[in-house]
Amino acid sequence: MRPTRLGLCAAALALLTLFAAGSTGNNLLYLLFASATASLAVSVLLSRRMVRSVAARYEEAGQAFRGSSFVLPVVLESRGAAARLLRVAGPGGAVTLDEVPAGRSARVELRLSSPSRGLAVYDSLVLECAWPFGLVIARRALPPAEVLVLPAASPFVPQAALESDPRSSGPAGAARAKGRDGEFWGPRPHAPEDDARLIHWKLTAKTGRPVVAELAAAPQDKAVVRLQGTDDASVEAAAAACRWHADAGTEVGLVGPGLEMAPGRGLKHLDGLLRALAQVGDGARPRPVDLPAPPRDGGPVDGEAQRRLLLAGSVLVWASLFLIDEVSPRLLLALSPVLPVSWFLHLRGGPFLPAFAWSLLSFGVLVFMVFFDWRWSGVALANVHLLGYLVINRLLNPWKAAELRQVFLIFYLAFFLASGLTISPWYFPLFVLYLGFAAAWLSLQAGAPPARWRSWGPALGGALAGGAALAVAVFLATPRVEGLRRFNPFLASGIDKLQVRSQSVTGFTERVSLGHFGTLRKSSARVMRVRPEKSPPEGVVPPPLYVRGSAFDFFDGRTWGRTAVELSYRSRGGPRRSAEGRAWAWKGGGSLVFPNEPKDRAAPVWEFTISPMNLTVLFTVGGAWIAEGVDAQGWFDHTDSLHLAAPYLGGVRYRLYSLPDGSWPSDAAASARPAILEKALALPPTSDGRIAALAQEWTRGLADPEAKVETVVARLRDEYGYSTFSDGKNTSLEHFLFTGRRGNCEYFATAAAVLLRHAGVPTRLVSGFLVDGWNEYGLFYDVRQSDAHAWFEAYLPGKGWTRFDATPGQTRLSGAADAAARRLERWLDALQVSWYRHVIGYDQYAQRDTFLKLGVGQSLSRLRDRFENAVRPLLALLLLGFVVHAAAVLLALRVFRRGDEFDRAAGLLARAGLRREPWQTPREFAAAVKARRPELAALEELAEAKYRRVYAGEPASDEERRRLARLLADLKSQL
Amino acid sequence: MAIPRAATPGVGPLIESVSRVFVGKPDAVRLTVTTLIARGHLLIEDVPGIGKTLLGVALAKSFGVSFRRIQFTNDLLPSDVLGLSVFDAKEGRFDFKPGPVFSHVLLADEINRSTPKTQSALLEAMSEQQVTVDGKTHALPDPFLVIATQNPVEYHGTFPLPEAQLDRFLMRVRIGYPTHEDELRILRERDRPPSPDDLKPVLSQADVLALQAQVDAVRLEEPLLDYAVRFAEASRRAKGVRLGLSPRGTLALCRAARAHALVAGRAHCVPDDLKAVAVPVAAHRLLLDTSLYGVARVDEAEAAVESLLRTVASP
Repeated sequence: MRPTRLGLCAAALALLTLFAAGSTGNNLLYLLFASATASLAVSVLLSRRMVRSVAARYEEAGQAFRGSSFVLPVVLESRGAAARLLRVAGPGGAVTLDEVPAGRSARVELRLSSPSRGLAVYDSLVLECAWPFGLVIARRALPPAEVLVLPAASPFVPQAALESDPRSSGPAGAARAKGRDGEFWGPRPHAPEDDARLIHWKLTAKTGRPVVAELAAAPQDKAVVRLQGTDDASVEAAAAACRWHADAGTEVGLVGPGLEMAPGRGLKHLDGLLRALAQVGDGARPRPVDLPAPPRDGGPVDGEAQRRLLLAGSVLVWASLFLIDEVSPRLLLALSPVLPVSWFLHLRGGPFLPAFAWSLLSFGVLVFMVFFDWRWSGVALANVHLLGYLVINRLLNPWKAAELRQVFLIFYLAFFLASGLTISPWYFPLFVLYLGFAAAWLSLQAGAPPARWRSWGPALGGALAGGAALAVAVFLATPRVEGLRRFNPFLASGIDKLQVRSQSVTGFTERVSLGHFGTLRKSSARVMRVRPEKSPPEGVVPPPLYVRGSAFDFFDGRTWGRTAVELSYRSRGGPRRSAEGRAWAWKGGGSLVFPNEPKDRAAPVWEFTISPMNLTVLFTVGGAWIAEGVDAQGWFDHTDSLHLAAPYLGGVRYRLYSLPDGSWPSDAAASARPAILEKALALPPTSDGRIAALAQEWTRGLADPEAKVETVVARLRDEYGYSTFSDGKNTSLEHFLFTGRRGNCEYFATAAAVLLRHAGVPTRLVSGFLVDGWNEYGLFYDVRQSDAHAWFEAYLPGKGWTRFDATPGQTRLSGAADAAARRLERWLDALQVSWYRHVIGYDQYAQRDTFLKLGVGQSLSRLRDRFENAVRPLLALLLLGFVVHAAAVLLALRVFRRGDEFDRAAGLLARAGLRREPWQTPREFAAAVKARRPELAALEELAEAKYRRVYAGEPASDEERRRLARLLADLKSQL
Repeated sequence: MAIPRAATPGVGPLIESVSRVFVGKPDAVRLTVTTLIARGHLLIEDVPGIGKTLLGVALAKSFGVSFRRIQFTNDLLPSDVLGLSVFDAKEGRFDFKPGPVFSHVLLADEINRSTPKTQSALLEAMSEQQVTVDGKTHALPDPFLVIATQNPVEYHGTFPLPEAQLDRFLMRVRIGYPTHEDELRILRERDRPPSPDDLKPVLSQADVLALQAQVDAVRLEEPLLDYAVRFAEASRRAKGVRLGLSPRGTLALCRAARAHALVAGRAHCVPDDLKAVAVPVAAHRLLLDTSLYGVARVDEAEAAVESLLRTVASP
């Protein structure tokens, strides 16, 4: 099992992607990482299984001559499913086979050669499988193949033989007789002295002239080749002589040391002679053939289909660039004609720009990037520009075979960058297409024949499906680490869509501008945890919780804000007055006590744990009375927003005693109420008549403020759609109400508030969080950034400030009974929200929840406790055992080392390339080593020492042991 | 040609003595002596005229024991081998006239030419080292070595030894032609041929018996036993082999290895001993898929054993 270059690249890119994902928390990068990892894992599993399911045997090799290549037929038989992309590699050669059908066999011809004659043993033959993606190559050693390599019998004409050449010597016709015997020699014109019986009538009829067919007479002579010695030179000379005489048609015999062959004629006899010669002397002994292995990857694979697929892939990659918000789509569209142009160029084969023009252009672009673009556009955008340029550059240049992989990697990098810079749900279909493209391309690159895609396509699909399942598991299980984000080269390079800004991280702001929530990047980063003092009974899922942050009563048509209203109120310390709108709470004993003490203290108590933020807002659930456990001073204002004197940069934790519904701290300042209500009725200065008319229309005939509120809320909920899309331009309230008719929560809240003000109901906008993330295991609400929400409060006589939410449900897939188009729109919106929530926002908390939901343990902490309790006593024991074991191993190692110099020498030799075959006895190994490297003869002595120790039961004396150690050291130095 | 090293007193001179007349085939001599001291019998499968008889005579002379030679023909009767009871008119009783089998070294030439009946009579004598004629059991001399020969070229009019009987031979060897130089040497020495008759006994009969006893004391360690068993198992599993090595074959392998070690002058076996005797001991016991009339061709069987050895890891 070894990775190919592409496999190493894939592993490196997977690591890079994981690092990028870990440092930015971007789940699309996690998705990419999971796919890369899964493809590697699938490659490993499938190729291993495939290479094991194939049996191999050899057929009789043809005539093999020393020094020239010959063919060894290998029959591969698939015992399981069809095996694909196989390769049989031997010393000096390899052959590929793209498919062995299930249960059938296929035959390949492996081209081999041998530097020496005789029985050659090819014991380094391996079977490799690159299926499915060519990322990993599984290998299995094949049984050794024995081939009898004949001596090179190159035709030579020795002077002495030339003199007696039956073909050349003597006058014409003397050495060859015309007759009926012997081989056909050739036609010649008829001469008068020729016997009429020799005329070849057929040829004569054809040519119109009498033609005689001349036959070479079977020479009467016999030649006996005498083998002079058993060395290679003599053997080859004899072989050449045998062949030469056999070619001449002479009967050839052979004698030599330990060799005698009767004279005979014909090629079969010659083969026998050569075989006998091959086995003379050293040739009879099987010898392993040692040749350099063929190159690792077998060179780049080229093919028309790959190029076309790459061109198709370029469309995908180009489309993925559109997903990057920062890149202007107009620029991309303007550059899009590059794609058809590139197809034209590649399919036609030109004309391409000359290379120097591209060099100049690239230099210019690089200079522009480094000196200007990075400064102007930021690193992230400049990177996109750079990769975009690279893609265009590659598309408009011809591709050499070696460059196909490079182009593919550039495409991957472009897609990687797009993944890092987008959170669009459109990414997902592109991602799936990209996976299909990459898998098909890699298979082609690994050698799958494009013409037979019907055969391997379904199998590839199966591999992809398995890979997808694995990828989902990897995606879910890859631990999301928050700590990594501190070291963040990717933040610096801008590949981070969840950029840490104090506002966007909390999803909360002190000044709500229309469109703010839309531009807010959805993330599940935790903002706070809210735990009720009294948990609901088990099995009851509590309703969603409105966590109130700030309220606003001033709207300028675009932005919500506050103006100060001075309050006089009774606090615990006596009557007080606010300053600059800030009404300070009484502080004592680590508690902030706000006015308006409730009569019965039955209102719920909440425990808030808020993450560090650059905020002063004291979050509440409804009206608040006491915040317990806060160090800083605190104040409230006429909108009942609660604040601390200083931002809680280190986080804060407090217990909040709520007020009953409809009770607020500002109720304590009854004198200021007219001013407050007046402010809550103020209309935005830009409000045109259409909104007032709409308010009139909706609330016509209604007198009761509560009825007005309910009507407005109901109509907004029914007739308008929820969307988090926001292009940052059409953000006015009028556009929402009369044109777009879809928006996010703050549009609904704002619309309701403004419409109700037109209808004479005082309203204020509240920004906070709407939390439905009740954690039944931890018994708290998990408040996340993506829970950020806006709603409004209306002042109802007799009820006071009452909370209303005009925003329609966000995730109902078929909630609306509208037209089908509208429904589809909503469905897409819901899909988008799900995408954000479940894919983009899948972080460590969501991960833990997922695992809890999947039933992996009731509670991780409980599991951990139980585990620790059980394991702790074992740990000590294990540690002790480990120490004892390690000591024993060390001791055994020393004993072992002292005893067996031979094994250590064998290890050293194996590292030096002289490996001991399993069947070799130590003595045979020593002899083999000595034959190849005579200076290593000391190994024989070590082998004898091993024999004496193991088989004779004679342990070496101290003196001998020292001598052996010296021998070993010598051996080492000679290596 | 170097004379094999032999440290144990006795074996060395024996080999040296035989090699003096049987020129150029040290391996054949060594295997013959190995067979002798392992209390086994030898089957030589080779063409006529390469000195099989010479080998037997030289061996017998070298330790001063009797040597007989029987040319097996298809009309040879068991009694021609074992001997027969003849009525002694003078004494008025049957007298047992021992046949040629009653000798220390017996050369059974072209054993496959005789009928199975005669073959089995001899083979029974070989395995039990006794002869029963007319209900009377006669012990054969000790040591007792049968050197049988077979001609691998001709099959016409022969009765190939069946598998079970081949098993009685500890080893089957091929002698092969002498090398060029050795054959020259043989020709040059034609004037004063080193005849076996010139050989002086270098060992006594008792020495040979003592050597045979020593074989049992040769040390054969557990890893080597394991190696032998693994080899046997591999032969039973191997492709192209219809019948692998029997447990008797494994026993023979170990005994031959012990004797081989002793011949090499060691009191312990090493893996190379097992490998050295594996081909002569195992080759004739294997039944290959390509075997004709239940007999595997010599070269094929030997090649099969050689390749088997390559599949078994050496200790």
